[in-house]
Amino acid sequence: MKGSVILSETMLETTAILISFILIVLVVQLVFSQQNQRTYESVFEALGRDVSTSIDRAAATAGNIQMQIDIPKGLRFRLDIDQKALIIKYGDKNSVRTFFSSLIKSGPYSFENPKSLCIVKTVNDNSVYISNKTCSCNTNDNICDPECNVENKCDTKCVNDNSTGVCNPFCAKENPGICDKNCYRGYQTGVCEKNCIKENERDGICSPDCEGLKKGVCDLDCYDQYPNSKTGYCDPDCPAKSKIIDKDGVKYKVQDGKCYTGCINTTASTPTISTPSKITLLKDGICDLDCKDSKNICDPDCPDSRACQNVCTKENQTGSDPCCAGLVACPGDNICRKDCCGNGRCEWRPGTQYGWPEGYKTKWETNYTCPQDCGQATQPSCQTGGPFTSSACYEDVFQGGTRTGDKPSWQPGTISICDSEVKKFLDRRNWDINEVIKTIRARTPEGWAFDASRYIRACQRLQPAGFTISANENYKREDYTCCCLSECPDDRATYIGSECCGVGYCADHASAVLSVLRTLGVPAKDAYTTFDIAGDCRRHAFVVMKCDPDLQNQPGLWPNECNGNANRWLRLDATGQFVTFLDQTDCDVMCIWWNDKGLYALNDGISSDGKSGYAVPPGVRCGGNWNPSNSRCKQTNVDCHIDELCALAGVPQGFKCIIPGA
Amino acid sequence: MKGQIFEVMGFVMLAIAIIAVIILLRTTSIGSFGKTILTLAERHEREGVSAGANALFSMTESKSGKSLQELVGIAAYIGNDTIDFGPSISYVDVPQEITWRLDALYGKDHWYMRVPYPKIEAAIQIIFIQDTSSSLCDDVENLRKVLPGLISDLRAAGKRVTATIYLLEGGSPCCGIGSNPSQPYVISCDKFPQSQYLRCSNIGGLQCEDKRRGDPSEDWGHGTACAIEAGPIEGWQKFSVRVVIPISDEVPEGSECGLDTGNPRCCASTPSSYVEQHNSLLRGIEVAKKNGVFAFPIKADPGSGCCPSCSNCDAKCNICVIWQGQTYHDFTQLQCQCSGLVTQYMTEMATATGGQMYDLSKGSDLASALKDVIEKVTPERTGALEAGNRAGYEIAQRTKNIRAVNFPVPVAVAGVYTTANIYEWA
Amino acid sequence: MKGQMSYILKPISLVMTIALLLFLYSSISESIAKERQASKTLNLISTSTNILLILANSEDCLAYRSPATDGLYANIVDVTKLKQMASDFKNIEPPCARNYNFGWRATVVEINQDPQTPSKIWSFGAKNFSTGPAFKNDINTSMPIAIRYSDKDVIPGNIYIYLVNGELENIAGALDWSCDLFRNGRLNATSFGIHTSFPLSYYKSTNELCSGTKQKSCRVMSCPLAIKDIKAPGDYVWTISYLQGSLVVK
Repeated sequence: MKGSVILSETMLETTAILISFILIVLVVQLVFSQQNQRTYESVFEALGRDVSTSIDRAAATAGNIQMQIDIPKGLRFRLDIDQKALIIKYGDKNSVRTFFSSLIKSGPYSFENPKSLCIVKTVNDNSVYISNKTCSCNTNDNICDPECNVENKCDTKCVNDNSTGVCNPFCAKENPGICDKNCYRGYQTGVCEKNCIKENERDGICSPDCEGLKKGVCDLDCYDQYPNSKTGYCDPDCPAKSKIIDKDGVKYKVQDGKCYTGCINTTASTPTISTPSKITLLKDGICDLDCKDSKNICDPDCPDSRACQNVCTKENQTGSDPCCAGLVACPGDNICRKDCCGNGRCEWRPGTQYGWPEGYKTKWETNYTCPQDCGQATQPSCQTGGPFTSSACYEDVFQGGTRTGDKPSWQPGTISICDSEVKKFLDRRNWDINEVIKTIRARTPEGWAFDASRYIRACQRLQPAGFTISANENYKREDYTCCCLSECPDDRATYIGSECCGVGYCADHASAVLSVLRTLGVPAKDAYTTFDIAGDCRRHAFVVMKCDPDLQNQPGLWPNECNGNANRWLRLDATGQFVTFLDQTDCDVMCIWWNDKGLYALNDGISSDGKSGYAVPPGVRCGGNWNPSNSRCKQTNVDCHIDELCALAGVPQGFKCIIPGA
Repeated sequence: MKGQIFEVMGFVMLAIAIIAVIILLRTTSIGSFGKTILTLAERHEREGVSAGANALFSMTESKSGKSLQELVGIAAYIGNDTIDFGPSISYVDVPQEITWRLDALYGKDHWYMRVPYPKIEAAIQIIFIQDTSSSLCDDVENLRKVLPGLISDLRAAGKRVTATIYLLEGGSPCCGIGSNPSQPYVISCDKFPQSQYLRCSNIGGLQCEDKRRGDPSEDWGHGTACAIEAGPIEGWQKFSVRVVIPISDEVPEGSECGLDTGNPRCCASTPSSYVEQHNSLLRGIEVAKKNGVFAFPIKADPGSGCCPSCSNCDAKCNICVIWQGQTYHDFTQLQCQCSGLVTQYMTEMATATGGQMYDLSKGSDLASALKDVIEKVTPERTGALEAGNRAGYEIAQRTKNIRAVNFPVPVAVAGVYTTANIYEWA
Repeated sequence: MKGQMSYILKPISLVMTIALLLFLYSSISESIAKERQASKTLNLISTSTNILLILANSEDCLAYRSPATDGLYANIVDVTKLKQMASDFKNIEPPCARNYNFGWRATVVEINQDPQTPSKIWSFGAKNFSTGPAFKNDINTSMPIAIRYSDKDVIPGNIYIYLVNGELENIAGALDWSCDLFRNGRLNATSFGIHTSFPLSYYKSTNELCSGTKQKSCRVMSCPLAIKDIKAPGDYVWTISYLQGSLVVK
């Protein structure tokens, strides 16, 4: 039918269009509504992620920081932040939740349609604060802004603001009299809020920021927290003043059952084997009566604190602690005594059986031991020496203003054999020549010092040996060169004063060392004093001693240096602080040698007038090798004449010249 | 037909439009996520580089115990990548320390670091060891005249030089110097005009174990050791250039060694007979090396200038002293004869310590010798510390994504800052 | 012929249009799915970086706080805190850097100049993670740090983190988060849905929630649980309340 064909075509078309239209609308609506929802969801997810990341970044930053997040326009939502979760609620019942990882220690927060979020981290609280505004520090808006911490400003609203709990350290500086409870906590906030500490009040907080600071009031919470051996923060104002009484000039803290141990002396409290848990309190002028009788807690302010007394060993007890409470631990038996005389042990110098430590050399015979403990056998008998007690120095001889030579100037009473000071010197050295040599070699104060002022007036007076020895034994300074006189002519002297008086110069030292050797028992043939007149030793006096094989088996008389060197001569130079072999030194113009037995003059090539010759004593190298007739000695132009004393004695050959009758 | 064709075309266009929308959606939405992931990954890498740099400068070097930041600061101060901390710690090679750490953190060849060094003048501290025996009278007088002006000129030119003169013990009474020629002119510190940068002291005042073994006024071997151990009066500064200048005309313990078959023992005989002389020298060298001190010994004229043969010489040629009101002239034959050994010993000390020996025939040469010393010791500074793969950095700069971190480095001794630039790439 | 042509073309066009629209729809859905996936990866990268930064820089975690300057140095880890953390948190993430969406385990390795020298290693965090179908995605990343023994002894090191997003982590995270809210009095009761691909069981003696059949992955919980084991995989809705310190899960 013709009409029916047209109808079905149009209907088909219409139906097709309708279906297409419906499908299109459905699909588009589905797609776009889903997309719309999806768009919102992804926007809020992204926002949640951004805020969470910002919070974590802030928490992970050193120092104060603030970050601002601007919310895209047109978003309406509610933001809740609590317990590491960020919940964004939008629409009727849609929500997005993200978690962040850090501990923010603030909140919970709830914001409705925020435009901006400000995230602030403060170091003092170690917390992160979030607010729904732009980041700004406004000190006049009556709202506490943590941003002010970041900008180093004080926002007074933060002081004691319970809602935020922010500790602003700049307010503490600006308002020193105010107590900001936000800064006064049981953990470090960087601020010591001493105004928050009330006398006689407990608030449960012992602020670690106030540790060690004197603030005028004792925090009872710290006092309560650290009693009876418990150590921790020190409040130097504890115990409280109200607990202190004065009795017999000593301040005491009344007994309350707590021995406050917050403030300890960490050096003194090092555990020992005998006292593994001992604590020593700091000296604060107050004796804590609760500590006084404690075995393990020493309060140094308590006059009779048991624990403190245990620090030093008591009299007549064996000293195991480092001190003997004003007494001395005798090295012989380690018992603490006032002195060690009478304990039957002979405490000698180091190296001997009960040797004293270094520094006790001159004390032993006065304080800490005595001859009755040491027995007579240890002190050898002392033979008095020969009659010659003079020592020499050399003076220049001038003719018409020109120096033509030297002559010895003799001073009697200088050499002192068996003098009491010499014997004391040897007592301290165990009558052992090796100990004597140690002293000669030692640096001051053990060794000999040099009085530069004496050198100028060298020959006016030589000192008796005992005097020189005593002065050197008592010389405690480290200055080698000193001056006894205030007008010191020598700027090498590093000390000018009376302690220097008597220490002497080379000629004094030489007569002292000779006295020591002879008193010790070195035979007269083996020990002499001499003076290098013009040779390479530069007008210098010293002592020479022979490594005589006869001495090898005599105790205390054989120097270790002589081992393998029998018959060699030693040079003992107390001024130069050395002992060496004479042939190794440059001293070779020694006109005469002398000791308490007499003079020994030149023995080689004596001239016909019997008054001059060469300085070659027997057995001594001259000028380089062992040949006494070496030309070096012959070449010397020094008028090394035989001393007048010798000449008067009329000894023709001049080999040796001994005072008659000796 | 035309209408149907238009219809078909309409559907085709619709299809194309839909496909275009799909493609757009895929590229923009996924693409944006892809970009965000890339951004985050980059952020993580950046954090890593920044963290690495922060951590690096806090790390310590095991020998010296100093942090890398301090070491870079010291290297910047001295203008040298290698720092000498003395014999107990020895050398620290700063680039090497940085390299192994950053290689571990960033990966080998994937980083480069540059720290420009500020221009800083090194502190130069000089100690003079002055022989005070009578043969040095004229040399000491020259030193007294020349040194103050030289120091102030150098300081005006920007050189941070200070000097301490240590006089050996003794002090000869020289004659004829000054306004009273008949009065002895004792060599002593009060003769030197002292200032903040030029000081004088007696070596006798120092607490040294072995101040002198030989002649007190001449033992410059032990004297050098003692003075170096004590340091200049202001104390040795950290990382300063240290110089010691012994001035003498004799061998280290003095040339009076005695004669051997008519000849001076310490110059002509076997060395074992004057071994103490060499020991004195070695002691000085040992302490100089231990303290990082350059020795520039100056040999004064021992008389060979006016009497080269050293024998039968006129006494007035060399020494003049006034002793107890009398004027004495003397020619020091031994010193003259031992002149060669003096040169040898001084050269040995200079060589061992990285310095140089000066032989002054005239006292007036002293000023130029001292200037030469200063010139030689002034260290050359490098421009910057560099470590890592520089070539790789230059290529990466052009072609890759480079992450850069700047880290401030204080140059504590000088009180200035420089910046460490660290670059890292994948 | 004209009429016959339009009979054929129009239906074909209609079908093609519908097909195109369906294709458009499926592409968009696929995009959405890909977007979600990418978003999760983003989250993972972002969280791992943040956790590393927090571990190395937060005083509550491992960062060294200098008593002298009273500030924090960036990326310096105190070895004392490190030892303490490795001992206290052998099997669970420390609260200072715990993220309830994920589980992680961190390892700190010292770097020595001589590669032959054995390096010290400290490790802390969760010991097990989701596996198989319960596993969603993970990431391994690291950051350089300095390990401080003393002022003069600061050594280079690396901190590595292995972060996992999985069903066990999500479930345990939700429970632990609820526990924290209950403990702080924020909640009286709550409920949420979970999906598990494996049976879940709880061991009271060790306070561990485990997922799996033969090879179980277990996590230590913050609160003790009063919960019946879930024997079959599937979706469940839990109601949570808090009683005498324990989470009651129904």
